[in-house]
Amino acid sequence: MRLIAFAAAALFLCNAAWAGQPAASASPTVVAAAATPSADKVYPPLPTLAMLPPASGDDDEPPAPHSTSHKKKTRQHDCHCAMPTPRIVVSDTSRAYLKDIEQKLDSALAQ
Amino acid sequence: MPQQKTNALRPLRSRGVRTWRAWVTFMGLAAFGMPAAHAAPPADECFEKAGAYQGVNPLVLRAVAWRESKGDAAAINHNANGSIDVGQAQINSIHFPELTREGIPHRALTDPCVNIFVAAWLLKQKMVRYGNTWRAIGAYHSESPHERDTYARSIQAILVSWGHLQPGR
Repeated sequence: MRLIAFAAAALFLCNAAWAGQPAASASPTVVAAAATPSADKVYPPLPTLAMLPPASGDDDEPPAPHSTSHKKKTRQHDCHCAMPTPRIVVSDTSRAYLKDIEQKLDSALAQ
Repeated sequence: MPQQKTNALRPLRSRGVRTWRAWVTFMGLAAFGMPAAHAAPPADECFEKAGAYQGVNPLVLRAVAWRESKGDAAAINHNANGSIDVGQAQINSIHFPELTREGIPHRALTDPCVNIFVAAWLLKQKMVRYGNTWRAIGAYHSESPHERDTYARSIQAILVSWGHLQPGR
């Protein structure tokens, strides 16, 4: 039982910390813009993390309920359990491919 | 060319912060030319995501990509004025300096998703200027009236041929 309560508290802290980031770093107008794009505003070509909508409401997993019965102080982890973990593959082949593209574009521009 | 509404604006339907985060991560990596195997989205989703992000119709983006290159992400074409057009939406090299300032090197334009996001960005600029109209779509290609209207009609024809638009609308 204590183990479950500890796990629930840790999960809550983890989700709360993650959910708080976008709201803290993005202005309200930016967040609102990400939710419904404005007809008279051009957004940057690529979205940034600051444009993420707030986490409440439509996240894939609801945060675990906060347990108040457990008094033991839990250590806050630098938890990334709710974040996707992109696997970056940068090989010699991909480097050569990108160099080839750059050369193609540069030579096309030079012509 | 009548200034008819194109329904190019449609509301964003968020599918969750996690999905967005994965997308933003992917687009950030793609802009630097880094393949992210885990986050790589299906190519079809790029149109939907880019359209939802800027508030432009993804079908128009699809039609533009088809009109410009038949969807060839590696397409590079020369123009008479010395500029080049890159990728499936044929982004013109005149935009390279601004894209570089936005953190997008020109090599990233051969990524199909980055290319479509940039196309949505350019189309949105025209929509802000001309409204949600065929004129805005035509201006994606050219500001000169004849070429602009011809281009808009060609996009219209593609959408009609795909069954997304009634002839004459």
